[in-house]
Amino acid sequence: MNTIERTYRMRGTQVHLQEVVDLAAVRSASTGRPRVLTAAAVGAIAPEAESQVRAFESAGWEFVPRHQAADGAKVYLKSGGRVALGTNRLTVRVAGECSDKEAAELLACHGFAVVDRLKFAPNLFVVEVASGRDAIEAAERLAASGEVEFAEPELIEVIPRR
Amino acid sequence: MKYTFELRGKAVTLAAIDPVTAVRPTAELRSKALRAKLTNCFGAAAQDDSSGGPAGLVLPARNRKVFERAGWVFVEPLRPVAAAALTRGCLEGAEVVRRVYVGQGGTAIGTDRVAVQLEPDMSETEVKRRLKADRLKLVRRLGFAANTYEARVSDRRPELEVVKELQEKRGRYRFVEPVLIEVIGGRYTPSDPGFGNQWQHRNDGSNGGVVGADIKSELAWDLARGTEVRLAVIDNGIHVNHRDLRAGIVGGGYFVSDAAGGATFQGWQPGQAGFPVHWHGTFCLGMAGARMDNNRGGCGSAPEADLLAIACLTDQVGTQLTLARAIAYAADPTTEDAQATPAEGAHVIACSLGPADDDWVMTSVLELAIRTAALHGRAGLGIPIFWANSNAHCDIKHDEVCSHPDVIAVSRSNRNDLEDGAAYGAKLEFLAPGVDVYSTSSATGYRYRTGCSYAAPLAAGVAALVLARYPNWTRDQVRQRLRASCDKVGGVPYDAQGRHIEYGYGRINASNAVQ
Repeated sequence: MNTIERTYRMRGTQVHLQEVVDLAAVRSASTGRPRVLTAAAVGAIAPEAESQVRAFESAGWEFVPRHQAADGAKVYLKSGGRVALGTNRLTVRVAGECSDKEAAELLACHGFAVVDRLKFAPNLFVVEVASGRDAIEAAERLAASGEVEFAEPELIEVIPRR
Repeated sequence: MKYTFELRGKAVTLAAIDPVTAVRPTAELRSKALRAKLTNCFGAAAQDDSSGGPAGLVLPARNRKVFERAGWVFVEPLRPVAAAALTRGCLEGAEVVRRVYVGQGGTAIGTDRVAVQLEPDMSETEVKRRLKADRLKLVRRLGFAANTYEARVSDRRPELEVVKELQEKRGRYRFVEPVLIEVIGGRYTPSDPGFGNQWQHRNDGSNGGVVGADIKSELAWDLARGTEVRLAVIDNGIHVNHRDLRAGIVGGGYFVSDAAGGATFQGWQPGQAGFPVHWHGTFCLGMAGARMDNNRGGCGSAPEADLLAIACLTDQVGTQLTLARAIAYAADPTTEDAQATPAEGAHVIACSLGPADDDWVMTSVLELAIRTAALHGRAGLGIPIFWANSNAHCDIKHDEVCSHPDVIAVSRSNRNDLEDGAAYGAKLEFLAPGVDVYSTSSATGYRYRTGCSYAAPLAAGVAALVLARYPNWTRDQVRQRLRASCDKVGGVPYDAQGRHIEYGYGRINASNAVQ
């Protein structure tokens, strides 16, 4: 399976990911797709990721070839064999003082729709990228605009019990 | 005004806090129907000022309740009430009105009595003559020692001035001591049938353990049990109807994740159905707040705390944004629930979720939620946030959540007071028992389990005990107290700051923490 390197900034440091371009992840309930890859098959590209894939499967995710699920979530490998799934959402904190309306307008100018305003800190929003846009690339562009304090992609990950 | 006198040869200082007066209303006024009149008769209820408030009253909720059960109320006195307290005078509607003193042992109420001992060869007539000369009236002879008496100050002089004055007359008495009313609770051992399994509270050396390798809960419970402190546990799911937990749970909520990476919040009140369940969160919540003396299982380290049950990432898969929202909700429920108030937020938060290994990159939004809760929660006093370290033997520095300066990262110790191979490093705060510990598990049962997951809420419960005693302390004061009160276990050298890479500041000690 092919991978490409992806990077973005998070809390001031560069995060490196491998995007598994031949794979997609879909929720079991939303698919009746014929070919589901096993955790072992996915583990073949990164053996240390196998247990992570199993955890996703337990939570109702299935891993399928990308060509069978063009709208499926992107699959990323992080350091240490951790697996993350892409979403079309970013968390964004707009720089400086602004009203919700001004922030929404600013984000709309960059092609984002506000999904939620988080109330525990000022100017903090969850936004959605337009269909077909890559969320990591969109986060990087927005972060580089200087109009936000941060813009980070929301990734779905395994956060188990300790 | 401060009074310094001697007790058993040691100087003791008590501060009279005259902005507060202790009143024992008449039985009629103490009845519920007339309680509202107390403010009119004597003054408004005095508030605890443990963190250095204007009046200086140190009266944690638990001790206030004990005093109240004994018929005492603490008021900001109206002028005649204050005057009556100074002179131990009479006041309509009150059986007695007394000055309030604060010292190292907490709050005490003055009386008109002193305990005195005179030379054993003095006759009773000589004793009476001396007492009368010193304006004391004999109340009773204390038969357990020669020439030892309870006496009453027969005039209106402040009681501690009398004690000080008589102590200064060297040789006149073998001792003169004030008789003060204080809370003297018994050394408390819960009656819960499974308490004996909970070596985390009291390790009696069974099952290969070391006597005393525990957090000294019983000694701590003599002073505080977490009353009126709100403790939130964030986990994947909790059996909120567990019979050892439900009486303590005052509210909470849960987040239902969706496939798009979002989550929907659902508020929850005791008695409602639908709360996600899992043994892990049940065990964690029990470590902190399982109820005491209910004839079931054991109990948590803060067995009278008000518990907030919060569930997220119920299938262990989701975004850090959802975790961030859970923390923000714990600290300030208005972030998710428009009907809530900030005052319903937690005073202490514990979370035991995180990757199995050391590598966890934290998002900005999760950091923002943690920082906001830690620094601005609890009406600006800050919230201590406890997090379970990885169970793997790895350096915490790669776990950006547990190594964050606003997170109190806890690893597990065993019943021999040794670290147990969990995460270590410069960011490790301390250890708490977490190996084969006994707590609530499943819908109705109890089990022994091992994990840092359980050490963290146990330690969070100790923070709740500290806040029960000192409700106005800042997050940093609580944290510093917990660090400073750890036992230096393990037989390892601790550095100049009192730290060791695998033990942090040591193993947490609840008894020391609540002093």
